[in-house]
Amino acid sequence: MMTRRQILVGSSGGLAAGAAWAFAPTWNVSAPGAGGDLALFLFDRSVHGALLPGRALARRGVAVRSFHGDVGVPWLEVLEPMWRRGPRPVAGITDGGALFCLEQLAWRHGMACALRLALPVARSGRSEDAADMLLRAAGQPPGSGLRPSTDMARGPVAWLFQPVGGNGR
Amino acid sequence: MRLPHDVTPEMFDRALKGFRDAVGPEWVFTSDEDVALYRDAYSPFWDEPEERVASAAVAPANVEQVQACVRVANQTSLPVYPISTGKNLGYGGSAPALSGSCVLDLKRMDRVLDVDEANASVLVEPGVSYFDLYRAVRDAGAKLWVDCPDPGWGSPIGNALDRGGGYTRAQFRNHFDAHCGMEVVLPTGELMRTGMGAMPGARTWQQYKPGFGPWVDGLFSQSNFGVVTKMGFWMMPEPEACLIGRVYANRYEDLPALLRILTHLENSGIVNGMPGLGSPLLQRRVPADPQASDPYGATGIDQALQDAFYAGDDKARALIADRVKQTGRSCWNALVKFYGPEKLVRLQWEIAKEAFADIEGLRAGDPEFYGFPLSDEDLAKVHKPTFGIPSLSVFNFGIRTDHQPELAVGHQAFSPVIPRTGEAIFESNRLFAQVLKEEGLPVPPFHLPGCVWERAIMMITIFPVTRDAETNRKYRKAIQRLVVEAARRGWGEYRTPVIYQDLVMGTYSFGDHALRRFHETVKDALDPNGILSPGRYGIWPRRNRG
Repeated sequence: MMTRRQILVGSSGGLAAGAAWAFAPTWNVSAPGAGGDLALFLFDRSVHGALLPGRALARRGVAVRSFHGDVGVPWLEVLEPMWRRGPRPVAGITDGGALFCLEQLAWRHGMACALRLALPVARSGRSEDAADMLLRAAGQPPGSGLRPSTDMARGPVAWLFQPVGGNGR
Repeated sequence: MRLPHDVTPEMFDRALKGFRDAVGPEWVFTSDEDVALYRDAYSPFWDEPEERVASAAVAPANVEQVQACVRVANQTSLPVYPISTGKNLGYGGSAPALSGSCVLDLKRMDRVLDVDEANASVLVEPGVSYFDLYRAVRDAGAKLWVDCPDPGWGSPIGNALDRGGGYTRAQFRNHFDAHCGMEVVLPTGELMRTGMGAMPGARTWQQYKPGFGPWVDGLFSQSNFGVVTKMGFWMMPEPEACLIGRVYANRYEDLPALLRILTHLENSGIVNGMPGLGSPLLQRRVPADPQASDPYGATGIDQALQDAFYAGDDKARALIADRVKQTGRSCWNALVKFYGPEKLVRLQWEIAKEAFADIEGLRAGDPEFYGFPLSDEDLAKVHKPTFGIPSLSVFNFGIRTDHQPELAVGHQAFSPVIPRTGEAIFESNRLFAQVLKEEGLPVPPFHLPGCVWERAIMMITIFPVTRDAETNRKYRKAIQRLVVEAARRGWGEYRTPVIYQDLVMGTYSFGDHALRRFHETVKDALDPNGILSPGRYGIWPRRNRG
C-alpha cells in the first residue's frame, strides 16, 4: 500500500521479487542490519574511490553490493524488492547521475536522500572516510521535509537514503 | 501558484473539493513542496516565468476515480494533465503543457492485469513501469520479453502513447504499433474500450487490434483526447538465441551502400533485430552497442577527423583514408542482430554477410552469440534492452559528454525523422553543425542515427539542460532554429519536449495546417470544455485558441 507521499514521485512497486543477478564483488558479511542501522551499502565499481569505503563497511558488518554503471540493475534486483518490504536506510557511492535516478525511484517507497558527500571527502581528502560519516548519519533520525533533489550532483558522491520523516496523513 | 488565465481561485477551490470527494483528501496535493515534485527536472525553462508548472495534483486509484476527476474538471473548468509514471525526462517529465493545470497522477494504477504467455500479450495499467512489467512477467514464469525504451522507469502505456521505441524486433520496438486494445476515459468522463474490447465479454481484446469500424486508437497517441487507463501489448516470445554481427567498411563513401543493404535486409526479414551504425574511426558508440556506452572510457576528440567527416569533400576523404590506414580501424560499421533458433540466426548472418559483400573491401567481424537465459557474465556487459531487460544507463550517463562544458543537469532531445539513406545522414549532420556554429554553441561529434524504425531514421541530437538561464536560452534558440531548418528540408520531429510542441506542430503545415485544424476539430468535439491536457502536442482547445 503506497502512502500519499510515496505516490508523488517514484516508480515501480507492488510486485513480487524475482531471482537476483550477481553483482560481484559483493561482501555480504553478515545479516542485514549487523552494521548498525545501515541495511545496505551499494557502490558503482566504475567510480574511483568507491571500493575502499565498501571494504571498510563490509568489515563492520554492513551488507555490501556493487554494480557497474547501470543503476537500473541494483534497483531492479536489490533496492526495490528490499524497500517494497519496508523503508530501510541504504548508503552508497555512485556517480551523481545514478543518485539522481535513485532519488526519483526511491521516493515512491518512502525513502529520500538525507546526506550527500562529494568525494573525496573534504578536509581529509580520503574517500574511505565516507564510510564513517555514512554510518554515523545512518544512526541519526532522518530530517523532516526531505524531498528528491531536482539537481544532479557531478562526480562521485557518497549518499544516504533514509525513510522520509513525517510521512503520510 | 499559477492558474490558467480563465480559472479563478474560486473555481480552483471547487475543483479541489471535488477531487477530494472523488479520491479522498490524502490523494490531493496542493502544498508548494508537494506540487514542486511535478516540476520537470529537465525543464529548459527552469525557474523562468515560462517554466510549465502545475497548480495541484490528484492521484486516483482506479478507473471510476479517474472518471470522477474528469467530471469535476468539466464542472469547474480546471484542466487536468494525466501522467503515467511521469518520468519522460528529456521529452517533458510530469509538468503540464499549460501552467496551472492539475496533474492527474496515475501512478497508483499500477496493476499488471494479465500476462498471457500463450498469446504473448499483457494488459497493464498506466502506473506500471517497465521494471514492474519485467518483474511481473518473470514472476509469472512466462518466456516473454519486454521491449524496453531507454528509461526503464517509464510506463509502457505512457511510452507507447508518446510513440516511443525500444530495441528488440521491429514489431515490438515500435511501442504504439505493438499495442492491442485500449480502455479510455473520454474528456466527458465516459468510458470507452477500443478494438475487440468494445464488445462486452470480448474474448480477443489482446488478440485482434482493429475491432469493427474506424480504428481510433491512434487518436489517443501524442494527443489530449482521452485518459488511457488500460492498454494491451503484444510481447516478444523469448528466442532460442541472439546473434549480433558487425561488418566494417573502410571508405567514407561506403555509408550510402551500407545503409541501403542494411535496410533491404531488414525489410526482407533477414535482419530482425534493431540494427546500428557506427564509426570505429571516430570511436563513436554504435547505437545499442554495449561495449562502448561507458563514458569513463571515452577518449578525446580528433578535431581534424571530425571536420573531415563533416566536410566529406575530396581532401577530407583523403584524410579519412589515411587515418584508416594508420589506425587499422574502419570508417564505418554496421551492427546487425538476429533473434531466433540458433540454426536460423547463424544462417541469417551468413546471408547478411553475402549481401554486404557487394561493398568493396568489406570485412565481417566475429559475431557475438547468446543463448538464454544469459549468463551472469553476459548480463553484466550487454546492453540490457536488447535482451528485453529494463535499464537506466542513459540517465546515468546521458548528461556527461566531452563536448559539453556546461554544468548539465539534464538533457533535451532534438529528434527529426529523416530518410533512411547515407546521403541524408551526411546532410543532416552538416546542417546541425552549421546551425550550432552560427548560434555560437559547441558542435557535437559527427553522429550516426538510431535505427529504431524500419523505413526511416531518427537523427537524435541530445542537448544539455543547465541551471543557467542564459545557457538554456541559447540551446532553446538553437533547437528552435533546428526545427525550422530541418522542416525546410522535409524532416519533421517525431517527438519533442512540451515547450517546442507548438513549434513542431506548426511545421506539419500541409494544406494550410489542415492536420492541426483537424486535431482542433476533434478536440472541440470530444472535449468541448477544453479540460484535458490543453496544448499537449500543440493541440489547443477552443478556450485557449486566440
